[in-house]
Amino acid sequence: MNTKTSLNKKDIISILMMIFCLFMVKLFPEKDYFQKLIVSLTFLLAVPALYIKITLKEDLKDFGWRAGDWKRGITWIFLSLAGAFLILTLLYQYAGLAEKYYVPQNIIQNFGLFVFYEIVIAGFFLALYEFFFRGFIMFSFLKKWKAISIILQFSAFLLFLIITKDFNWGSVNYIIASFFSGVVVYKSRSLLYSYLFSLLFIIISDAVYINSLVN
Amino acid sequence: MFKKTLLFSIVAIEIFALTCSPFCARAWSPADFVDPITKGIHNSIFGGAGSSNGSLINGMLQQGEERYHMDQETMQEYGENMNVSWNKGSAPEVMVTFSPSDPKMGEKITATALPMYFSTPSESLYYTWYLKHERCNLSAGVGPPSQHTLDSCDRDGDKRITVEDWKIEAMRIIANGGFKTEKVGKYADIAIEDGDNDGYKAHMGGDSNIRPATNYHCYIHDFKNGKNYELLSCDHLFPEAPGYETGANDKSFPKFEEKFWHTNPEDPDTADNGNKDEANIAGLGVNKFTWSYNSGDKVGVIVEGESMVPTKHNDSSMMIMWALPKNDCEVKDENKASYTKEIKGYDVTIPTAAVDINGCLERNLVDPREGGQPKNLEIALSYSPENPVNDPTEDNMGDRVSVQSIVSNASQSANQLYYEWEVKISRNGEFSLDDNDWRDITDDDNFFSTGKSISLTKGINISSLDFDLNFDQDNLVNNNANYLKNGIGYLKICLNVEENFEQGETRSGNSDVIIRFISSDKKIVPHKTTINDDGKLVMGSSICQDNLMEKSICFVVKNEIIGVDIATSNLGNYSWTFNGEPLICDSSISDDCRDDEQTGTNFFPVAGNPGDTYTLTVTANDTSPDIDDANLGNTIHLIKNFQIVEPSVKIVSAGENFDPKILGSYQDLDGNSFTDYSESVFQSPENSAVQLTAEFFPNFIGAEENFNGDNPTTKVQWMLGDVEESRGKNFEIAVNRPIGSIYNIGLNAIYEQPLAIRKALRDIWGISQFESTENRMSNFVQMEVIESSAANQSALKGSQKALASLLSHFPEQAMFLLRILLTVLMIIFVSGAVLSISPRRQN
Repeated sequence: MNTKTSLNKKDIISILMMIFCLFMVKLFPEKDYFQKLIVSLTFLLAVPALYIKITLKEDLKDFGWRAGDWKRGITWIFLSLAGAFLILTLLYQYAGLAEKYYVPQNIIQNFGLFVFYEIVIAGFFLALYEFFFRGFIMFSFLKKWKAISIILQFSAFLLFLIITKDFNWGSVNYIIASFFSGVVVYKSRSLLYSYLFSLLFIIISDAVYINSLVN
Repeated sequence: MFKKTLLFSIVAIEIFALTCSPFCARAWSPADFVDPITKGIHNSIFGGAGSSNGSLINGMLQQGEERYHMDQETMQEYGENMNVSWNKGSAPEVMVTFSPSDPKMGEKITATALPMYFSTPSESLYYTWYLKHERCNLSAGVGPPSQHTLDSCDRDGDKRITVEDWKIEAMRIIANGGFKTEKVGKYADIAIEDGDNDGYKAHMGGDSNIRPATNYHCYIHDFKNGKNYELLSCDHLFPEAPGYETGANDKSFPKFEEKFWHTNPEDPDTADNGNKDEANIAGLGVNKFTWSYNSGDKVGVIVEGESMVPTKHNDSSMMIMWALPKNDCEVKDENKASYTKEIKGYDVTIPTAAVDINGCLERNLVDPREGGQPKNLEIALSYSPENPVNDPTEDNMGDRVSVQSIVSNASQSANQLYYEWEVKISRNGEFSLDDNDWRDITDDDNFFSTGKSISLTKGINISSLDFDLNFDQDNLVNNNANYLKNGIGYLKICLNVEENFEQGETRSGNSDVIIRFISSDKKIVPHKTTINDDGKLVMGSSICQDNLMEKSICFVVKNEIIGVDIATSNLGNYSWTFNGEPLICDSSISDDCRDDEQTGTNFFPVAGNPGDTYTLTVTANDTSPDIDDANLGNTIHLIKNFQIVEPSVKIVSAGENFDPKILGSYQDLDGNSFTDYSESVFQSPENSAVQLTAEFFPNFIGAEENFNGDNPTTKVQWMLGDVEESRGKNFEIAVNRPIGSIYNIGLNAIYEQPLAIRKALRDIWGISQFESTENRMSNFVQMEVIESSAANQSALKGSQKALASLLSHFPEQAMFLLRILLTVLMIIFVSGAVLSISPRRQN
């Protein structure tokens, strides 16, 4: 099997496109919540999708939009959940995460809001992150760099958080999810399982945190 | 003096005669006289059988009684007193005083002995002081004291604690006089050497007693029966160094003794008190003893000297006696005896006793803190103001009462003392000394809001208490309580102060002060002033009553004449001051004033400059010489503050459609968000009507009456751009310009005093017309015409914002979507273009 690891012109254009999209999420002028939503949707989903379909003329299935190997996917969801919670436990134990992590005050007191926040708000942004970081970035380099692409998309996500000034303790479970989600994608070749993993992990970790606050 | 001597001589003769008469009568019994003539003479002199008129002597005595008006009963009382006078003699005593009277541990304390009833001069008496520390109890014979106790108390090294150790402890301090023994290289242990000739020979009964030793007779006074008993042994009670006698005949004070007594072997008067060292050991004239006080210390003194009582011995001796501070030295009956001695040919019985005075010393110890407790702290309280006034209304403008305390005898500064204040109120509005008549309101929120109207009440360094007299009427008088009587109440401020006196011991003091207060809703009310036809000042409408800020400080404008009054019906005497100076108003100024006394009305001119403040006070009471008046004691002292301000005017909305432009928002430290509104830029919807009005400061300038008449005091001019539009207080604008247009609105105003007021200023207070000119004010704002729907946007918030933003700013959102769409298209096009120009496209 011939694997060429050097970058070609398409790769360079793709990388520039990735960087452009990341920065545009932050820099594109917006005035309100609606515009902010549109900006995120545009540069994390629409532009990469159009780029793949129009510019690269490739199928979205090659970028994780497929069912994949469901057995491996389910298996790695649980394995990744175990790994992610292990890291989370260590952070709670040794880094004092309980005092540093935070969630919106409203969802602590209202279960309905909690469900809405986790499914709709978090679910929406997780879907964007999955498509852009795991789908677009990781699958762009998966064939060429194999497992290293996991690190690449993880690094891109960290860069994204730094650019948007969200790199703080409140995003720690998203950061953990980002890495293990890459693992799930790598193993299952599908964004479906990585999205399920991320959603489960975020919901459970927030629920555990809120439970510790209430009790 | 002569008359007294004569009287006593006659009394003595009479007593002699009365005493002698039966004796002589028996001695010279008529039976002894054989000769009838002699017998007759005898009978006639002394009386006897056949003597009808009594004896000659009795007759003489009767004549004496009559001549000198001497009463027989009185004479008998004299005789009876003389019979027992021997038992009532004054035996020597000594009183001990201390300075300070409540010493602290480590503090120097001086005990002073005040001897009485000694014939020996005070400076010749021997004062043997003894000092007992708390641990140094006498050995009771149940075993040797601990080594620690011996080290602390056994001064003579006999392994026991005796009174000799107590004496040595005290007399060593006296003899040493602060001399540092380490200054002397070494004491020679050779006993015989007295290098500085500081020995002293003591005399029994005091230094001044130069009688021969055979005339020494020592006595002890039994304070129970009043008799004096001669002691079997007559020796000094001086402390002694082991093996040496203090005050012995050898007049030697060798170096061993110097070492023992911690005196300077090279200085004959180590203590520098004029005595030789050994004389100090004997306590010659040492009537003061100073030492460093330790808790539990007790002290005593034995004073040796000659009493004022002569002995019965046939010599010049007086009784040598010892005085003790508590006179507690019992002469037990089993130790009493007597001996008979022939004196002047008679057998004289002399009572004796065997008493060891040293055994009495423990019972004669004196505690410098008699009772064991330090004295109480002495606290003085003072308060101000003198006649505080409570404000029972919601204005809360009552006086702030300040109570100051001074602790005069504290050993520590105020910042170390613990203070605890209490505020009590009389339950019935009357002065009372019974504590049950007072109710503690210190922690009652109905009277004092916590942490607001009363200062700290407990803790160290709280030497003063401040609180506001803003007790609500409902709390003072209700169904359950009536703390006022005729509008007068009483507060009792109690203070307890404690200090750490020394380790493990505190001392405290209490004090209180009763404050009479008046509860009154009366206040000084300022008014505008007008002039009547006679050119006199008349009270106009009231000002500064609209809000609490104005009630606490009234803002006035230069060249106003302000009238003030106090509406009271129960007060008759008034005294006004203005910035501390008397403010006088008479009938030439106003018909409301009088020439013979001040009334509840007064006037003053505002003649200063902006920023100046005035303090106006009025004191009033109901004191009246008329007996029909109640004279209830109502007194009131009110204060009103004024400040001169530069008048100003502001354009404000009198209706709708004139909203300040939102500049942003800011957050306070609690995270609360507040909208920041512009004060000079406003927004109005297109095609709307805007009503504006002029808002003045102080607001009485804008009173409607000021705009009326031919010569209004307040004049305004509304401008749109450079064009004058209106001269009324209110102004309406029809917003008919296109969206985005700007209206420049200007308001010019003039406030000037009427000519009559300016004349009054000149005539009454001498303020020139050139100083009482008008005040000019102006204000300019911009009004921005906006879309009508945008004005309601600010009402939406939270989750509705996105939708509201989309709907209300649809054109703007459309522009945004267009921008983002173009961006997307451009990037896709550019990326496609770049890839397409590649010679070999790689999949």
